[in-house]
Amino acid sequence: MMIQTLDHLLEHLRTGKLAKEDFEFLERVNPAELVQELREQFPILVQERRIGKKWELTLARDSHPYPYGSQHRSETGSFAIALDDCLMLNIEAETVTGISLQPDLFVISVDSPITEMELETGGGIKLDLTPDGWALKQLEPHIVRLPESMLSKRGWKFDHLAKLVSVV
Amino acid sequence: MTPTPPEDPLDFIDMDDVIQHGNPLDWMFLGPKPGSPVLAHSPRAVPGTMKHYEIYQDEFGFEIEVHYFRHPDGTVGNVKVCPRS
Repeated sequence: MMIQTLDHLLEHLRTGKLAKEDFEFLERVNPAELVQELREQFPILVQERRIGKKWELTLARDSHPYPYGSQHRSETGSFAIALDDCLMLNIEAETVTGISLQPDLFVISVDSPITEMELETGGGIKLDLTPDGWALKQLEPHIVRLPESMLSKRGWKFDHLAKLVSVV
Repeated sequence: MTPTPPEDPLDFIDMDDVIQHGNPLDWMFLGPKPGSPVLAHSPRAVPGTMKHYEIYQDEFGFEIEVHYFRHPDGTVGNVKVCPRS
């Protein structure tokens, strides 16, 4: 039952056409069970953080070396990875407060030794539980550079991601 | 006993919004929206919870809004980046 409902939710979220039962599902689902089910479909744990009452995760279905990664690799310790079909989930006090889907996310180290990472998203869609209720919004294709220290503090699993791709 | 400082909503920005708007530490606070904060009447809200609507300039120079609950104990909840309205 959960799998079928979850599949419907993800499909509806991808198309931006959510139904009443999708919101009811998100408001009633046990977050730990939801995460367990999502980990089956999105097996790569990219990022996980708990702060206060908030639990946030970034998952991906698959990964492969970034196609143009050789342009970015310099010394050992650097990497470039393409993450396919990413899902970002936010849970607060046992309630889902946000879920987004991004078909492509590229993560590239900028320098060596690594102090900065470049994250490139192909865009996507996000459902937020704001203080005024549910809101759907588009995520735009975007490139951002962020300090590696900041991302590590937010629970990005760089060691695990580096093992998924071959490092020059 | 040292009181717990109130939580900073910028520590709770969702990761997908960080990718869209850059490092929250580099955002510029432009002030609260007129009328903010207001008392929350949501059934999810603890009595005394306030709803905050604040304006920031993100790392790329665009104005965005950050909406969140501030609970009586100083914690924050449902911190969300919303389009400028």
